[in-house]
Amino acid sequence: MDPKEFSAVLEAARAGGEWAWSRLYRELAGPVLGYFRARGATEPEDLLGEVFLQVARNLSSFSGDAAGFRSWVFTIAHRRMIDERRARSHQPLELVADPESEPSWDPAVIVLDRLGTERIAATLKCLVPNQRDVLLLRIIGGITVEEVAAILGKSTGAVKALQRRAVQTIKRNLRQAVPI
Amino acid sequence: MSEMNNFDHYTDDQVEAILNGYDVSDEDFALASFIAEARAIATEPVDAELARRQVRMLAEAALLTSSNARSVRKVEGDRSDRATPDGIFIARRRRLLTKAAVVGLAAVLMGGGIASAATGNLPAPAQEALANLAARLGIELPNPARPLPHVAGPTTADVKPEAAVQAANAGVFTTAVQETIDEYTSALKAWAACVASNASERGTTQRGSATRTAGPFDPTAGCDPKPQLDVPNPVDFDLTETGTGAGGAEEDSQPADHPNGPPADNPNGPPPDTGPPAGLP
Repeated sequence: MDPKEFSAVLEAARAGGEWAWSRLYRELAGPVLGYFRARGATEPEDLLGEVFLQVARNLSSFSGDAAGFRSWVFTIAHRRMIDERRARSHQPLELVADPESEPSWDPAVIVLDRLGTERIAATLKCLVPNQRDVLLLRIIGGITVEEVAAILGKSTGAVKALQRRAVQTIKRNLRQAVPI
Repeated sequence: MSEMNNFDHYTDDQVEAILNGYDVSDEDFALASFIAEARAIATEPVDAELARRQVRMLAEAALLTSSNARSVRKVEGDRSDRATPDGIFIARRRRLLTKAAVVGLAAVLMGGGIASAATGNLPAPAQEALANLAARLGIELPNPARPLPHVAGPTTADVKPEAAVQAANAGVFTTAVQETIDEYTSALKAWAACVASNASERGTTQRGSATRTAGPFDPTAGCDPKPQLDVPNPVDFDLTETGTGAGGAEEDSQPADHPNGPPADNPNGPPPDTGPPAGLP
């Protein structure tokens, strides 16, 4: 989205324009949902809704370009994820059957859809939480080292070190998992 | 082991290259594939029905937020303005502007017949829309797009009996519109509070009891039906459409910007479709 277009979309979104929200949602809902899924959130769709609702409430306080907006949304998403992780650590999870939760009825489709995300999530478990955050924000969020540093409250040097160690750990883990 | 560590050691530039998917050596192929697979998660489409529901909720939340922000600004403005007689007039005028803005907001929400008039940067365009509507009925209201020239008021001798009746009816009509807006605003706030309470309760229940409820979540469940804005009909007040500017008001009333439609090639031109945006209730 070029700066002029983004500015128009943002202004319209502030005024409640549904088309503008549709544009912003289409742009960022996929990455945010992917971030939650890869982080192993239990209710990623609910978290997605909460993130965007907070964006809608606080949009008047935002100023910046499209990249800044993306970074801002992922800041909210990251904090939501931390809240969810804390809540989950305090309360045991009891899952009950929910036949309407899956959009597809075909088990093969469901399995294939979930397999990729689960494999990613499983591989990422070999990382410490900070490394996982950095890697997912960089890869799925598509944001820069500097923005990740701002989101996590760390220096850019620390973020670079975390992502370097994360990449090295994953490489080792993949080599051990699939011996050639 | 030390050989493996040396082998796996990357510079920052190499890490950037791997994360961005270029200059990947054969040795790093598995790693690059994993990262490409992780990146693909971000492009997985969100369920269409979920997206549609959430987008609508976001648009309404943004509307309510901007409406509340204006109310706060109005109250703050009223406090400072009331120090002088001019300030009282300004405060009253602002109240009128805010109410008109609510009409515009409501029109956008409802997607009704006057939705096309309530487009532009709120609240000014909403005011403009109401001013244009009023102008067609012969009522002059502040219009941000076309400031009215200062003219001397008519003398008693200038006022004809029919005009006096029209003016009286217009006054009654304006009062009725304001009362309708007040009632609608209160009802809408109550409804929004109920929906927000449901959403909040749902979030607490979901993580509190850590169970998943069956079926899709309906945030309006248990709330009253969403209030509808029923603007009084000018015809009921014996107001005809032969007032000032009836001929040109239709074209002139198009605001410069149209926030509830995609930006056209010419952003200053009128919106291509003056009907309610698709998907609005």
